[in-house]
Amino acid sequence: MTDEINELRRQYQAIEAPPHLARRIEASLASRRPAPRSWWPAVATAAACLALLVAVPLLRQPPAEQQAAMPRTPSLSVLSRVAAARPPVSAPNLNRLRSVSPPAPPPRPALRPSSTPPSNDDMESHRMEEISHDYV
Amino acid sequence: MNVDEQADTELVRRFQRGDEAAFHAIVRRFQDPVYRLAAVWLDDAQQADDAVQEVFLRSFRGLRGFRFRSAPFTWLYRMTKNVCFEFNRKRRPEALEHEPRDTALGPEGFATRLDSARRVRELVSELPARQREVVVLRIFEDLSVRDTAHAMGCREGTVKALLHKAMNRLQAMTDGKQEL
Repeated sequence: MTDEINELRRQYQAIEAPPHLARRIEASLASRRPAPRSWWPAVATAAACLALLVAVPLLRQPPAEQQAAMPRTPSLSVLSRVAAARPPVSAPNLNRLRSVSPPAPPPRPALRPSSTPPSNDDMESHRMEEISHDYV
Repeated sequence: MNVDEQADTELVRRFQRGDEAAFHAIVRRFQDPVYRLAAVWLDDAQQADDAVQEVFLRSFRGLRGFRFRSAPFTWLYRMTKNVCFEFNRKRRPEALEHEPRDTALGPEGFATRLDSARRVRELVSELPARQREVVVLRIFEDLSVRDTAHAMGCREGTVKALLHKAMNRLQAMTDGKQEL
């Protein structure tokens, strides 16, 4: 390393921070730091919330005597495991079912006695008569 | 890890355990090197003061999460470099004309401090940014090649190559000035 660069290095290392700088930094840190007890309200709020969370279910619970008197409702999971007992019904005998004869159908309505059905010509002439009668 | 680095690490550990006096010790221990870096990266003493203050304010928050993957000083160096770049970016041109003078040392002390920084800065500013960094860290701050590489975020081979080029260039510059 040459003398010039050594001189440059010596000059660089001679640079010092101003003496007031450390105090200025410490003062700046102190001003930015929150007050030492500022965490108390946060802790108190958290504790109150926790206490409420614990206390509310306890307050809602009925006293022990009342709880004993109350009929116990079985849990749904227990109910789902219990199989419902079926009534003893015997299966119907298929042979017997086949032997049963169906009821007789109701009597058919009697056809009215009539002559020969009217022909198309009769119906047309009848219609023509009606039309001619209307226009006369 | 050398003795100084062990002491630095211990100070940071004490600070992480909640000992604020340890942080004030860190400030007193590193204020000169951080100030020197800021004086070389920035143009005026007042800005260097502000930058150093900002570096330590950010360190107060950041050192709590420091994971000791590098030496505390290399971490501080990176922080200083970032803050100085931010200051240079924000700086208005007219501020150079009316920069407030630091009168705490008196006119002579101020001038001496500023002149040393200015002389160094004038020479070093001729170098490209990476070469300037390597000269400041390896030659001026006496960091090892490994720590310089950590601080710059590059390989040790890169540091050596950059240093070689920077030294040649500095040599040429000083020779040229002598000839003039």
